Amino acid sequence: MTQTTSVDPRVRDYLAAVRRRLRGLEADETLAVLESHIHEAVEARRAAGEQGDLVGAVLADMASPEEYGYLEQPRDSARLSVLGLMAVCLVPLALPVVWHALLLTPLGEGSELPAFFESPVYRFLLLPIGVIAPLVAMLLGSTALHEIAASNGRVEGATLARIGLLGPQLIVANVILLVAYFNTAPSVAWPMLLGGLVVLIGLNACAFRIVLRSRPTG
Amino acid sequence: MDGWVTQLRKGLVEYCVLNVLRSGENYGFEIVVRLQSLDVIAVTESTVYPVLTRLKKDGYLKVRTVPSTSGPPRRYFALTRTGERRVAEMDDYWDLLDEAVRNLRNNTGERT
Repeated sequence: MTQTTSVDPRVRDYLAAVRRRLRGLEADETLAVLESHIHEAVEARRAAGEQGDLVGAVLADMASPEEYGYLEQPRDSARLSVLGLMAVCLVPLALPVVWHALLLTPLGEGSELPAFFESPVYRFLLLPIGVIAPLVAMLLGSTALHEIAASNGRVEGATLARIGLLGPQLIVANVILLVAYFNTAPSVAWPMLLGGLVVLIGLNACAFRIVLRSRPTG
Repeated sequence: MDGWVTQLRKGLVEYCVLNVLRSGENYGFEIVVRLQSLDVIAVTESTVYPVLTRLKKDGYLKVRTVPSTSGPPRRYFALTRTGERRVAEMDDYWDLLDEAVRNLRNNTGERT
């Protein structure tokens, strides 16, 4: 009885090496067909009258395990974009400064300026950081998107990068809307407030979606 | 030149695999052997088998497993109805592409 190729340790090692290059259920399917291929190749050589180490000859002729998966990069080797993560973390730092700026404009007329904005912590620490942070966030977000596009699947996190890129603009737009709303209707029943909040979130989602669809990411 | 050829071949593997199966079902080893007989396409197992798996997952191929007494079961691949439509669409696009490139090469400037 012909020894099945699957018990040959070299075949097992080859298939194990190929498995590391593939992913999920598709890996199992591909490996099953590949194992059958090796067996068929050995049988074909035997039928042609070849002798000797047929398994070794077949494996030597086949693609090396490293050649597998180049059409589809294995997802478990993808890393998160550090630049995109940093961009997202910087976005909230702009919030106090944007709010302060809007309260100083005609939109903030009638609103009381919180004492926090007079504190040394805000004036000497949060204010400069809040001015620079959105600019850096936009730069990092844009760089991260280019990095992800060029990585061919090795780097992921496009959503984070986009939030970093678009976050500052969305914050400004939202704060303008909120200040204008509260200045024109200062006492508001909570159901209306909740409804307004839902509408605002919906508008943000639409704006995000529209802008994202128009931006090429490579 | 090598880089361009590699990219071109990458895009053709799926079309070539579907074309091999147009004439009827076939098993993996035979599909690879048929494609490897065409030197200009230069495929290996590492390109064909992942594509076969993906085409099956996407519904373009169906698989019939035949047990074997001397080794692993043999898997026969065949086009599904969706796969037949897919390869027909690829044929149409290929013809358009061929005509467009010919026009460019002949420098006729005709829009396609």
